Amino acid sequence: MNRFLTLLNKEITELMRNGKLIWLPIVLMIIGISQPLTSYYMPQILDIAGNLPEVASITIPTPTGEEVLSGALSQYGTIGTLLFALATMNVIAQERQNGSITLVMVRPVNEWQYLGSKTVAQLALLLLSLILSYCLTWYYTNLLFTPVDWQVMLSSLVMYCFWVLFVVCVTIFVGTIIRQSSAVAGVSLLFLALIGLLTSLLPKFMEWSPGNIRGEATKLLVEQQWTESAWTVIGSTATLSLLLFIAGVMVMKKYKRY
Amino acid sequence: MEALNDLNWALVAPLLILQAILTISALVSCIKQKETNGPKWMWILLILFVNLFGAILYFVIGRKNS
Repeated sequence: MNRFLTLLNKEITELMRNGKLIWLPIVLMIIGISQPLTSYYMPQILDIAGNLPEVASITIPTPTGEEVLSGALSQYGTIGTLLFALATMNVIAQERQNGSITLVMVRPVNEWQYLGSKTVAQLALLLLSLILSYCLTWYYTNLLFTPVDWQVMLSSLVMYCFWVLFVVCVTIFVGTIIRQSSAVAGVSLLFLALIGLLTSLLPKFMEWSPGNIRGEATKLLVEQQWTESAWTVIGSTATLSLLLFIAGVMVMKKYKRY
Repeated sequence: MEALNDLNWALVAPLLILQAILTISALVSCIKQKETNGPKWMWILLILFVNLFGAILYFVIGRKNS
């Protein structure tokens, strides 16, 4: 446990040093806030930029607060996932390239502690950014649109956190196999996209799929109740993430490729 | 530009402040860095002129860790 805490400490110092602790929260906050802002100013934006014909009178319905929040969730789903994978891709690859992983592994540290400290540090950073960003977006939504109940906001946030968990576990698992950091991001994004594709192609067989998380979170926002399927998705995502983590440790133990 | 006057600056200000923090921290980090992947002046231009993504790109691939 003590060694794990030391490693965790090292990871957090690393996060501060390479600036991730600054840019990731800020970028996510910018992405989050711009959703309610652009929805609010949509008529003006269309006035200035859109070449709408003069004759047609176009009325754009004002979205409800819940719709705006689910729009923000879909932003996190696309740009957010890309950023998450980019932020996590080089945690192992970088240490392999500069050889510091060997220095760590010759000490009495086992693979569980090593990979665990990495996963926990990355997860803490990403969740912190997501929570900050979502709360700010919620505040803006309440200000500009219809207010959204805080319990509904919180439950959709908790739901979405599981997607982040899944993304981190996938990226770190791929990182144990592949050496090059750009390839790590590419393969994990491809894998996540494949899961999304399969989920939309075979909805019947993929009810448990992590790709459903955003849909479930949106459903929570709109229908405001926690359904049975939400538990299925959360359970399967948590299990899959745990399995991926264990598989990552196994790969590191087996091949000893530092 | 009437629309610009209608803009409620209190709403947009946090967005601009966040953007400014990001740009400035990327610039400071870039200038302090001994060596970057690719020429340093290119990164400075990218950070200054490519909104948001310039700074992200710099932090993700621009830094060279020895």
